[in-house]
Amino acid sequence: MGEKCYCRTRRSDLPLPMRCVDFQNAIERRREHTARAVSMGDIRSFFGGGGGAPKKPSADAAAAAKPSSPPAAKKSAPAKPSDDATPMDLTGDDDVVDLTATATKTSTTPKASPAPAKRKLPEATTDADANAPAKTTTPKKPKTTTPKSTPKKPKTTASASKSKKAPGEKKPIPAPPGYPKREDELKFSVIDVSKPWGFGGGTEMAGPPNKGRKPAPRGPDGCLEGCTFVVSGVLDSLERDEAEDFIKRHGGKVTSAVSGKTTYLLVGMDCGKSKYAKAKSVGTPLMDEDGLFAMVEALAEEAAKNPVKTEVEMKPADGVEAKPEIVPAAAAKKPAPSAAAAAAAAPSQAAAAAAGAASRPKKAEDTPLWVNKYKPSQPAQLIGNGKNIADLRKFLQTWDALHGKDGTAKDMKGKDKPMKAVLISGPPGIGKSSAASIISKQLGFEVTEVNASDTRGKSSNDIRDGVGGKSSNAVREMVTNKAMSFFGGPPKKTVLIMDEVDGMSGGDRGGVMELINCIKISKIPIICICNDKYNQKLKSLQNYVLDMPFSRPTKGQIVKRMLLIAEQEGIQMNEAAMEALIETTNNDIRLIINQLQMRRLTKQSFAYDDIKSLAKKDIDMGPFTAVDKLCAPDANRLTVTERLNLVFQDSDIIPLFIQENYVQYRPYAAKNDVERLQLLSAAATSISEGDVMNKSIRAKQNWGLMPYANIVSSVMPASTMRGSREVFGLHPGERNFNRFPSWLGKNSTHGKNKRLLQEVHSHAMTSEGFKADAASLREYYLPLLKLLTTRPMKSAALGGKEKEGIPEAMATMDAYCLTRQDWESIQDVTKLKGNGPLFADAALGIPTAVKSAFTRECNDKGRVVHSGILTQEAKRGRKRGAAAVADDDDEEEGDGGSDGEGEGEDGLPKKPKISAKRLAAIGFVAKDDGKKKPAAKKKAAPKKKKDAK
Amino acid sequence: MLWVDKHRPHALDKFAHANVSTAEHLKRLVADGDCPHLLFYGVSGAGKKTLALAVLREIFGPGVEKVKVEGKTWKIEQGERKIEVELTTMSSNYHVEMNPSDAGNKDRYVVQEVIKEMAKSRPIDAAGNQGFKGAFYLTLVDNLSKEAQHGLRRTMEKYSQACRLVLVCNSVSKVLDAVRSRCLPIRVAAPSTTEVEALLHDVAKREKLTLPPELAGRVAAHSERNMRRALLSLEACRAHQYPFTPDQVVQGTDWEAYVAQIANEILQEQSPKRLLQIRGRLYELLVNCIPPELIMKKLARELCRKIDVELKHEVAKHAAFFERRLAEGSKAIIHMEAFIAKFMAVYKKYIIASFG
Repeated sequence: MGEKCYCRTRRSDLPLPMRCVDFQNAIERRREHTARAVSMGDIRSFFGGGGGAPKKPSADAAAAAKPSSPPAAKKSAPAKPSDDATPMDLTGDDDVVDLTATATKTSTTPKASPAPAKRKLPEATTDADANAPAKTTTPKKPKTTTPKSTPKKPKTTASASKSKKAPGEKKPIPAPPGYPKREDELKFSVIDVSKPWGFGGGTEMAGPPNKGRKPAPRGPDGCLEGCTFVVSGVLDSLERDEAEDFIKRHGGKVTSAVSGKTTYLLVGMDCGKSKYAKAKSVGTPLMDEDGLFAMVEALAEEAAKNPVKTEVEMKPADGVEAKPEIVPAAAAKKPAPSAAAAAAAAPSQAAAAAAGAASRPKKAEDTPLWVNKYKPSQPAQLIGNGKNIADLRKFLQTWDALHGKDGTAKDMKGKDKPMKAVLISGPPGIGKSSAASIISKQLGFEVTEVNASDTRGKSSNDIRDGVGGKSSNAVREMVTNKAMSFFGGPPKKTVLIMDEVDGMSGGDRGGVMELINCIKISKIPIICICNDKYNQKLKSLQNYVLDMPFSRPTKGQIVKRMLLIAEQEGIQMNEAAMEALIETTNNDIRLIINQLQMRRLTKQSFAYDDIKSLAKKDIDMGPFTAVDKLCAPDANRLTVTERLNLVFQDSDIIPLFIQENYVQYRPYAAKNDVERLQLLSAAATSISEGDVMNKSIRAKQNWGLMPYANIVSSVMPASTMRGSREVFGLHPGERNFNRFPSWLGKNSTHGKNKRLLQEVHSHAMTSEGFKADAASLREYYLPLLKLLTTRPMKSAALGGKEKEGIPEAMATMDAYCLTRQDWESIQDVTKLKGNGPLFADAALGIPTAVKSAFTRECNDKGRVVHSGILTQEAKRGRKRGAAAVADDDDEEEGDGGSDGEGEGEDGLPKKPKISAKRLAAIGFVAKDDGKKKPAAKKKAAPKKKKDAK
Repeated sequence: MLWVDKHRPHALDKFAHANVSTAEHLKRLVADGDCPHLLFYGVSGAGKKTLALAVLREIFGPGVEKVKVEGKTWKIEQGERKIEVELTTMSSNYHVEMNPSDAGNKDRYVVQEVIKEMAKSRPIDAAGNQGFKGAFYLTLVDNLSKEAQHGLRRTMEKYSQACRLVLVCNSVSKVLDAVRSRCLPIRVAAPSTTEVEALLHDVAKREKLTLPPELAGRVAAHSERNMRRALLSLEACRAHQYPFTPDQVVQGTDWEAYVAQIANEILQEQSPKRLLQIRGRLYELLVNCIPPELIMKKLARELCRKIDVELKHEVAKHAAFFERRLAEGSKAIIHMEAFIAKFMAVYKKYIIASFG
């Protein structure tokens, strides 16, 4: 089959140009690709004919070509492909490539004569069939004639679409029967409270009184086109978002604030005062829900009465867009072919070019990806971030002047010194790279882009590697030289775009450092692009670049261009639908275009509801949003699966969020305090069960339990507690938002304290009598030890003779081999925040002078016997602790005055010196004492033996 | 040195107040210099460790008390994984003492690798004239994971020629049957209140203090038959006020007072708001390294003390339920909070039903 396709499809490309709407483009591209044309064409044909999906159509086509001949004829075709009658064969292959339903249709009229085709084509016929015959004839025609007929098409498309749009725009704004009504006829009220609904108000918005009891009418799509609504208050039967959906479904627009452009203010009970006042002042008519329904009903009836009109309205559109339009029968077949064609789109054109025929490829097959096709090529096409783009332009324009020829700033130092590079940051798909390259090109820079696909490690020092070595060497080479023009004239300006700088990792050893060095020595401007400018890796880079954070363009900014693209691609979509799509992608332009292209494969017109239903939220949301949704009063509208998916947004943190916040929800299901407590208890029990499951998941790697654990630990408690959140006023100024789980912080404090306790315990273990474990140490010993080591030094009991208490405290500490640091740890570990003298900070009453004397005492006299057991962990703790103590001491010195001398030198660092010897003597083995260790051990061992005997 | 450690009996003959008969039995058991593996169990403060060390001393002599402390990182290779276990051990020439549950979830490796390694190669005994080389003295065996305990059981058989294991645990029900059957279990019962009283008087005499019998009685009662606690609280009393007076306040520990406060707060008000406050308090206890099991136990006791008889069974049931959850789960706060929420629901309903 492969070989057969090879030659057949190559010729079959010839008619393709016929179908090209954008003739000029085709010509241009052909020129570009002429060189590669022939060889590439082969590949393409291979894909086109031999690739998986299109196989069947090709068979069909062959059959279609010779419907009258017996099946054997099919075999004969490949047998002698070259000599066969050209038109016939072409018919078949045409359809292979083209893959419209015409293939099957043409089967009835296999040999269409050129004449009707010629006649039909310029007429921009609505009949898709017409295309097929037309194509079959093309090869015979002189190439020049066909293109001439085609250029008209785009124009008609444009004009037709305009003419189609025009009536929509001029369409009189629909009004419901009997409107405008007087205000007292409407069902609505204005809320008196000047404070709007919102945080901490404690008021609940009641649901619509007649929810679900009124059938909402369904009018024709786009019947509300041109109307802009503002919704306010509680409507009669629709929830707020339902109402918005309803309006958008019918092509209307919903905005949040009343303005002169607002057509209607849709009011319900308790609508906002400001909106109402504004509507009054602007003269916007009010309308209630009944009015809206009546209006849509009326429009629906109207549409039903004269369906002709709507058909007429539709028809020109169909006609003009016949080419991209899919005839229903073709719809099913569409995806596969276009994909195949897309894979080989460029070569196909090349082949066409080689043949010299005017190309008429389908738009969808024009370029592999719409994202590339509609990549902005001029600054005007960039969406959003206007200020940043202007800044970038300024940066590039002024670079030479500022940094001069040798790449150093003139006469400027410190803050004023202009940066030599910029760092553009922002989420993906908002046009950072596009902006960088377009602006650069516009300003006449030669752009060199280095991205994550290139290795960007440290450049090697070996000069011999040179440019031919690592790519980073090439970069370095580049930034240190000004490009020279070969043929005189001004030297070309170059700019280096380092894309995806936060993606430097692994292979790019020292990449960021290298980049910084490059920036330092650079003689050309450098533009760095990253997603996350707070990335740890980029921290050092921050000091060398001008920060330029790009933000996501708004819905409004994106929607126009997206609609334009949709229109060019023959997608019917209204603004509301597009906005819905944009929302689902979280304003990621690239994602929107990709989605459009993908969706285009199956469908051609999208109503608002299609998008709403299709659009699964494949965007990520933070845990806060997810938890809000899980616990919200209207969470019951979500299915369990949807709720579970919310938890799966981050199944590590969301159960913790639920645990942190579930208490503060006032469950709808509860009718009184007891019931509320019961629900609370049920939720708590469920969370507790979830924790058990979670442990099983982690400890035994039972990941299959994950969904169930998530259900039990998050979905169930959240739905039990579903209701509005309230604040108990435990913390002044607390806002009514879900809190971040405090467990994380508490857990880490617990970990720290546990470590401290263990350290104290290990020291105590070295004393002779002590036998308890760490838990008992904390439970029973520490309260007493704390008392005995602090009280003697406190002023209240002693009246000025606190220092005399030091030896007493020291005696206790010595008995248990505790250090000054342990003393501190004991305070930390026994700090219970509560009322009463028992929970007061024991160290509080100790005068600072006494404290520092105590510190000295502790560090003095080689009181280091016990510090021999330095486990690694203990060491870590000690280090930190030592620093803390040192700080303390400094403070004390300042405060205490007289006693402060020489503390610094006497401080903790002295310890290790003594310890090794002493340890050896006592038989302790210092574990990680570096070199001293072996010696200590050796000494210790014989001594021990003697001791034993 | 605190009294509790100062007056600890070191030899089996010195047991005067509690565990006297047990000590005698043990003395006879090790008379010929050998003994089976031992498992001491009983509530804390009953004298398990004191007994265990006295037994070791009886076998090996006073050299057992010359210990050195060693903090060491053991590197264990498990296939491709390299595991590091940090462990503090105390060892004399005759025995090694360690608490494998310090290693957290890596306790398995301590048992499987570290102990095996030491048992195999380490010449614990220099003299070598005993029937076995030495002993491992493992504490808090009940905190070991199941896997670790399984590992232990093999070690116990394989190296029984070379060494003895002395295990100490609080709750024998958390020790595997298989491990239990390989040991001679020795129950160390909590001393009776009168025994504790006698002990207090004895210590007071040795410290040359005059202790009013009323105070001794109250301290003993407060200690809940825990000798460690009794002695420490007596010393706390001493620190606060001496000479003693019969009506002196018995000094409890900070966390106990804190838990009692929590219990009062729960009984004062049952509402989500209060639950949230209690959560903060529980966090406070946990952060201060008070074991959650202990908090639960104490809290349930405090609550039960102050509620109607009718409710006691139910509350105890819930407390037991969530205490079990504590052991099964990983985040203690969740289960304690669930217990309190449950208690609040039950209690509030009961209060409303009985008083309207």
